[in-house]
Amino acid sequence: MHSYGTLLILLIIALGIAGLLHTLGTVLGPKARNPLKDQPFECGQIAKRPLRQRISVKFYVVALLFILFDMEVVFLYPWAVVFKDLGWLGFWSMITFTSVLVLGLVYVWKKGALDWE
Amino acid sequence: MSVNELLPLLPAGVLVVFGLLLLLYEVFSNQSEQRRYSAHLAVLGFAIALTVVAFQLRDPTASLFLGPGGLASLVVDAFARVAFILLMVAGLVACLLSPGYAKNAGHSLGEYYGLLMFSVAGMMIMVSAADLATFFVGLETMSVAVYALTALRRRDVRSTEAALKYFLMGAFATAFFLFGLALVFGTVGSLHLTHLAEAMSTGTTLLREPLLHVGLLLILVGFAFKVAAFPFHMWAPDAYEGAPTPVTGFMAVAVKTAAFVSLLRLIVVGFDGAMSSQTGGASWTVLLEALSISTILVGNALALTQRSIKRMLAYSSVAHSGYVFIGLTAVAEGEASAGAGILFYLAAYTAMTLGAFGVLAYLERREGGSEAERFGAYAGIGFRHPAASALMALFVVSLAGLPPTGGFFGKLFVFSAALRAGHTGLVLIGVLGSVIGVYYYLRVIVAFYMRDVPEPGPTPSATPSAELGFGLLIAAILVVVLGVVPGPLIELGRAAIASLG
Amino acid sequence: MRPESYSLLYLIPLLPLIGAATLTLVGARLPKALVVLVALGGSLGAFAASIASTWVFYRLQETPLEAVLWEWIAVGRYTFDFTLGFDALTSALILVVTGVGFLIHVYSVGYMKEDPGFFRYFAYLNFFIFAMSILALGRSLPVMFIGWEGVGLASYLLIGFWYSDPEKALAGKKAFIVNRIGDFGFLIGIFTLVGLFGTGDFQLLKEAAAGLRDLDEVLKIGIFAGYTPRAVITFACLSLFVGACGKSAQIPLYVWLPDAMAGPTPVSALIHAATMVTAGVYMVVRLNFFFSPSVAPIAMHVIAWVGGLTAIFAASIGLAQNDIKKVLAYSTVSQLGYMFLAAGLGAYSAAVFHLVTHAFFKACLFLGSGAVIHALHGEQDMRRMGGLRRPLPVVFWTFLISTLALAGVAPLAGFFSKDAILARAFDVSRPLWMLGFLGAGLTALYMGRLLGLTFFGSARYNAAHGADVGHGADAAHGHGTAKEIHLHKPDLWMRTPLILLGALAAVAGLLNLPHVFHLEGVAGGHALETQWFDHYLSSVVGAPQVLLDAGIEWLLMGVSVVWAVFWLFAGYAIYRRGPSATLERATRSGPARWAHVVLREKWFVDEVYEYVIVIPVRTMASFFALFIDPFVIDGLFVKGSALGVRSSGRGLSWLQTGNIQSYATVFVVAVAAIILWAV
Repeated sequence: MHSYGTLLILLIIALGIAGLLHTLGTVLGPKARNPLKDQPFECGQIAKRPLRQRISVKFYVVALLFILFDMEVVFLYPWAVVFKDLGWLGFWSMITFTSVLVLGLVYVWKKGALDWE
Repeated sequence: MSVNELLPLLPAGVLVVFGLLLLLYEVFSNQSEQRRYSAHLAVLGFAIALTVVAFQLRDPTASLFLGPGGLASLVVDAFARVAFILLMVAGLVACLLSPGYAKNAGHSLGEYYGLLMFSVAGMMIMVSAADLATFFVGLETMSVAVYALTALRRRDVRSTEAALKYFLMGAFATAFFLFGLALVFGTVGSLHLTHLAEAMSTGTTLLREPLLHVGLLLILVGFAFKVAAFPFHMWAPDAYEGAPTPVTGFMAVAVKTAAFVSLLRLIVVGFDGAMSSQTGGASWTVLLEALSISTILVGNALALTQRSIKRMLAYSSVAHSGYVFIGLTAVAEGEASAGAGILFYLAAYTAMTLGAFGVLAYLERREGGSEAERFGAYAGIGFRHPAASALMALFVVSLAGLPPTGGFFGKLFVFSAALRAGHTGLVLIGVLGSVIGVYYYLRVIVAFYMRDVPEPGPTPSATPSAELGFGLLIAAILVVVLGVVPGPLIELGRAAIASLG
Repeated sequence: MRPESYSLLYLIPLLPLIGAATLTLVGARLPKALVVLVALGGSLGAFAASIASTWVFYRLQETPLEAVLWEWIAVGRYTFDFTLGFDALTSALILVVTGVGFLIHVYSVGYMKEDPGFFRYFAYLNFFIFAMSILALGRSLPVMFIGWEGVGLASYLLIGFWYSDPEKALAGKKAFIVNRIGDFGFLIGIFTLVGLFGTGDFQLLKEAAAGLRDLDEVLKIGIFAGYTPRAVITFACLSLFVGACGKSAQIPLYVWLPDAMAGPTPVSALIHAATMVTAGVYMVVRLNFFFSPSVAPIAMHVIAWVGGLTAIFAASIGLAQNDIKKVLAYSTVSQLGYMFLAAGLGAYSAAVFHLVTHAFFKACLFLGSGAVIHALHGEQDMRRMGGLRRPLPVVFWTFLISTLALAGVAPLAGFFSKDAILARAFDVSRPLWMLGFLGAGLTALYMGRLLGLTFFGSARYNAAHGADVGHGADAAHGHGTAKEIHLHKPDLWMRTPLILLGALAAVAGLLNLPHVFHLEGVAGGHALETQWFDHYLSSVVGAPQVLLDAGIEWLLMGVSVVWAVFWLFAGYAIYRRGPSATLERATRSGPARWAHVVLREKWFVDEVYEYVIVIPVRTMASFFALFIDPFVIDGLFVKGSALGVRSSGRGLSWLQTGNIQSYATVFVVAVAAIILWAV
């Protein structure tokens, strides 16, 4: 089937071997389970807290906002490179773009997303 | 390129500006009392944008943002403008249906209306995009805004659950869609519809380029997700049920309209006859057929078993997607009149579905009940709220596709076009589905009027909101006008399809 | 002639529609004066708009007017515009409809003023004017059909206006059902014509009819392949005529009209005498390019004979009725028969002329009878009337004029219109002429009887009033059992329309004098203008013909007048002293008794229909209702299929777990399936 057939065959073989080995290991390997063995291992210490830690939602908000504004700023670079060629239209487009960004900042600020407490 | 050339996009611009204004209004007015004008601001924005489109309706086709080879990224033609009108009317009515509801539920009003306007602006990009990359920008603008709208009631478990499901599944579908884009770009070397059409024009491309074939299928899957077609519909009932009822109405009509209209453009412009060819493309129509048949049957069968009116409406909207797919199948085989029929169907569907959800929103407020109310809870409503119930009766009659309503002509136009394209079996399935539909739609009327009232129900508490009444009235007038004078709109639809070339 | 665009035509239906809508929505809350204002405004506005349109039409050298309101239906090859048209024929009908309609609105203000449903009544009445003007103005069969159904609805609502009386509600239902039978035929006719010519527009149909080269050449393409155009058109004409029979109360569908008298009397005057019932005649004349002896001779024979037989048959029943409105109702059926007789003979303008004059004198007669009933607090039985000449002079004189007009006494309106019909019949078919001539005698006889019983002799209403009133009285007035009743004199609202209509009944004949009146030097040295109406209509129905020799025409006219006056006087003489004792004795035995019973019981037609149609249909219905529907349809088809769909729905809903991982799984499996299948 088409030129991609070989790829498909490769995929099947790769998955097959990986799956086979994994299954074989599970089926054939000796197992001796006891509670002590099932505990999370932390350098010989008994774990004090759950492994999956809860982080304050505030970090997410700040991280999101950072990425958001960071991404927008990236647009400024290509614009700066061809600034002369684009002329006034390019200038005003960028002014519009940044003012929308500023409005967004104002909104975020007033909404209190930047307050830590 | 000058500023004048951007004028065709002015309606979308107006919406964005008003959306921003709403956000600022929200944060700069501290008392919620002052914020009650948010809805009016939003309605004003929609009204201005609609006026602008109305003035531009007869303007020539405008191509914006020319790329390499002089091909435009956005094409604002008669087709796009008709879609603008549909989408903005949906947005306008949704705004009118919301205020009392939003006030009671204590939402952040500015964000609510702002998001609504942003999502409509995104849809407008979708329907005018001539380039799949541009289309994707519009798609995401719309989707993100709608995810947020679904999640608006942060304290409500159902609402957050619905939003999460919608968002995750949406991201999932987007991934498939993007993968499809990547495959198409890899084989065609461009995402522009014109280049796609050129690549497809030989007829045997799909046989020679299976990756293109797979890419297009994945893109179709993305669309099928947005319009909630079987088997990509599973998020719909949960999301529809959990979202605030006016938002549900908006999601059900506007998102679907935007997706169907842009799919129509993709099929007519991008595939340009390749679907009807015997070589490789034939499977496309078969796939569309399969989608429509399974969507109609599954949507209707599931709607029949629902006990909550809102969930029933959600499933029935799945079924309606199936009817539109019948039209798309005909379009794919070159029956252009089906395109006009689809536009008409979507217009009628917008009016009747928004109306039905609007009445539900009204009754939930007036009766103070929970949202997923069983049919039985509505016993005797017809006598306690005669006007609202009469409107509901009108909307469900239209949804069932009985004359003299817009729903009837919508089905008539789509089915007759499919018959002309020779899809007798498909139309039979469609009619069968409609017959099942009549059963569960009429159950609403039975519940409203023909069940004994258990006890003299609670007296209406909240005062009726004038905006809501106005919104319902607009929807009702549209339903009736489309059912009595379908001529002008179908003419407009024909002109719109003709503008696609 | 290409029609001129004149968009203001829409005002004629729009104004009464606004009136009807206003009254329906807020009528209950409006004070009576305002209701009157809205209702009269709606109808007077329509009348004014009709006059204005006629004037424009006249100024444009009688070029037809048209107003394309919107594209209505576009299905496949067929497009139907919602177009209104206005030509000579339309102007004749629309002026009668809105003019007489307005007068009857005025009359109703007085007649209905004590009725609790006052606003509802006027809402219906305005709606009727709206629907009737759509019927008259519609430039295509589908638009006309809307008006056709609309007037049917208005008629149904108004017959059953006092719906709390089961008998009246039943009468409304009967009218509706019988009309449905007719409408079925009408629809078949429309479909046939649209199927043959691809259009329902009168203008285009006329051109298409003129363009048919050979009527007897078998069609090779289209849905009627294998038939000749003549056969198809004849079929269409007969189907349409079935519709006309229903609407215009001809044999065999006339039975609803006498029962329709259950409605308020002004309604009987407007809808069931002057306007709606003439819609069938109008339709036949409107389509005269199909209903023509040269195109569909068989259909035309049928129409003429049905008309002639109805004329004499209904007149005979009118002889033996005691209810004043029933007599007038049968008289209407009979006069409509004359109109169809004329139309069937190709005398279209005579038919329309009779339609116009009949509208005047029959409306006047009904309004007069309404005034009598009103005066007597709802009494409708003529045996309990009498002597009303002195207390109700206005009613008496207008009634007398109209009676003479109906009987065909020169020089009143009815004489000229009936004479035109009989002259044509004499020329074309002697048997039909005999029917018409005998019918004229019967007409004069029952009207003489009615006049004698009602207005002459001694007053009989005091003695028996209220004791055993057989017939349903107009409910609003049916009260009181006092021995000496106080006569309700008609007020100014009621008197004015009576006088105006009486005057019209007297002089309308001048519109269309017979050609033999074309005498030199009679009117101040000029010739009298004759056949003005015929010429006016000629743009629609073709030029008038002069067929009869002047001598024969004069002779016929003389004979008819003598014949009418003789029978009129006979009726008056026998009955002026009340129900005649001699006659009672004469009809007590022998064949006379049978004749009397047969006439009184209306030839037992209702009973025959009951046994031949109603009972078998009802039996079949019960069979279906008791057996087929619950077991086969409901049980097998409905519940069975519902069960199937429902269980498949249940089966599918296990997929809808609410668990997002499972949704994603379905998603991926589906995508994989699609890709594997497609590639």
